[in-house]
Amino acid sequence: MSLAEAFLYLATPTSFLIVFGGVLLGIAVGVMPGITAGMLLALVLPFTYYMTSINAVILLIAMFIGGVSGGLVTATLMRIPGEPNAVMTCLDGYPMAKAGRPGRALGLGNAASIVGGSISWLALVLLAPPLAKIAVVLGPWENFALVIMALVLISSLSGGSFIKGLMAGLFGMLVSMPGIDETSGMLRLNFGFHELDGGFDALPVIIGVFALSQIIADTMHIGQQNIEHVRANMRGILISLRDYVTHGWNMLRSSVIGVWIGILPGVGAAIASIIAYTTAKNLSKTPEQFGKGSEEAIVAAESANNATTGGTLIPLLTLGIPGGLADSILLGALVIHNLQPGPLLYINNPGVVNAIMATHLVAHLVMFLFMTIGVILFARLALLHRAWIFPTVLVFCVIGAYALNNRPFDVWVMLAFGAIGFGLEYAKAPLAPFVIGLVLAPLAEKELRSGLMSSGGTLMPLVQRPISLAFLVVAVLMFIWPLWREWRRRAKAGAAIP
Amino acid sequence: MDSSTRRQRHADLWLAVAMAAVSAIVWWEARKLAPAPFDPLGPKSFPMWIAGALGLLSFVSIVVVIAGRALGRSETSLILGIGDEAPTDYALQPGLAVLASLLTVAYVAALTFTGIGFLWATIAYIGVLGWAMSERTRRHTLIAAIIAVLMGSGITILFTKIFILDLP
Repeated sequence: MSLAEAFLYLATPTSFLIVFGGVLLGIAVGVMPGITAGMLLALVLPFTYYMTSINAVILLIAMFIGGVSGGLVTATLMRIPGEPNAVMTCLDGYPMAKAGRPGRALGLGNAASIVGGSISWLALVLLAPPLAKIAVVLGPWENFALVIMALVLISSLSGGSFIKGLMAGLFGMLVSMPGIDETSGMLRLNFGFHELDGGFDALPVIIGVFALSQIIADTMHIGQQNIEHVRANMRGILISLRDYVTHGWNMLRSSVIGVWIGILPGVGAAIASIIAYTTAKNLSKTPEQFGKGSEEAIVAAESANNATTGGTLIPLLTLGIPGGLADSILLGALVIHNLQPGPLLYINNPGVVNAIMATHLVAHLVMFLFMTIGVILFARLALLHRAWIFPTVLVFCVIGAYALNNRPFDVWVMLAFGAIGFGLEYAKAPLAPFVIGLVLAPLAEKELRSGLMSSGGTLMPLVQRPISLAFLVVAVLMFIWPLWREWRRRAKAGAAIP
Repeated sequence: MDSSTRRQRHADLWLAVAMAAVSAIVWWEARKLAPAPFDPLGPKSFPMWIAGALGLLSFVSIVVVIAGRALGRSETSLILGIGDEAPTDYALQPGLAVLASLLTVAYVAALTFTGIGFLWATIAYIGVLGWAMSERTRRHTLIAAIIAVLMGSGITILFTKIFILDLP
């Protein structure tokens, strides 16, 4: 299936319905504070098992796009980021809404989202295929070094604590190891439990870590329900062509920032919107308006966070390395559907790749339509009491964990990893490296062992082959960089003390 | 040291100790594995390397925390507010989170170990948890009951009659 055929496929009633439903569900979830797009993807993942792989990725991408965009509504009307990436939109969207222009704030955010999404689609279509052609020559050593680099990179860039990120990544790798060892066929690390002979299924683990732990934690914040909000209206929801021209450069610049940040593993849409916001403020003629309802600020934040959606898909499709949290779950989805992410996906399943690309653009258009005509309805959804939503979502967690293998053991695994995810979050350890470790460790081990078998047991090719060496050098640099940055910070702080 | 920093330091220490324990258990279990004759690495080396690296990082973390330094905090936390300063515009309800966790465990236990069945267990679970999370007025109690019946039977019909799935 070519890209053009993928667009035609999306025009068929079934797939169009899937895109519509996916975007609608994604926006609805994005609007509801406490439920994120990543969580929705984790919950829906088991049910996509019963769909064709192409329809499954269409649904997941549509939900992903909808989820990223829905956060705008609560950020603007309630000053609560429905999604973490809408955090910068709160700063100016809410003041503008409170000043009597909620429609204008939502309209600007929506327009910026479609521009950001379209630019990131262009980047995806233009950058991914040539990158995949280069990546297809990678051998086992390069693939192993790539996984190591991704793990270090995501731990280093996910912000806050590098050492915690690495620990989370290594822990994720260990979780993937019990069960039958694929290369030797030997049983390992089942600790005497026969239920562990098949290992931990990735799905219950992901649902536990991303959905259950978050719902339980958000239960503590249920009092947030009653805080002040602005009523939505449609006045100004469609911005004029002149507005697009006025904010064109800002939209373009912020979108490029979003695409670039999206490509970097683990950084995510929230950081992209912060950088785009700061850049827009630094370059603005009216920086004093930022934080008080600035149009430039809303445009920058929303262009950037939607632009990350295409950026994050580039390393996922070309190298099999997810750029962010939701992409880690998309990676899991591809694996569940027996599709090996990475450059071979282009050769073995071009239809899936083209379906992902086509859905990315169509879902943005559908999102724009929904957010334009249905914004008042979505705003009402944001006010729905979470007591009526959370218990049902928890039931879906249980069904999702059970549905894949019909094993009650998987439900207990989901509960256990819900507690573990909660603990990791409590200690402020990033979860993205955990999932990357969980999903990529089997690949890393397989490639390393395959490389060692061909080299007669020596690790030397890892540093003798230029590409694997380059990946390792980046990994080492990214390992040293946060430590050096921390050392510099401490040295400066020490120098400042008289 | 303020309470937030102290809380964070305790959490860091617990994380490091837990990770050290996991790495020790995995390392110990992996070393018992026999080598594979044709495979230079075998099934045990990779888990042992990873467990070793995790153990080393955990040890460094424990030393860093005991030395009074912070391990840092993830800025990409999905759970808003945990380990942070408590919000000022509403009250946190940790007791409710504990209750939700216990009810969820009880719900799964009921599905796994009793013959109560998915429909009734789900209606009871959604009803009780929804009521506990609501403002517990007479109106909210009624809404919780209606939602429990609708969602419990709706989900059962959806998965057994339409998706033809086995439910726990």
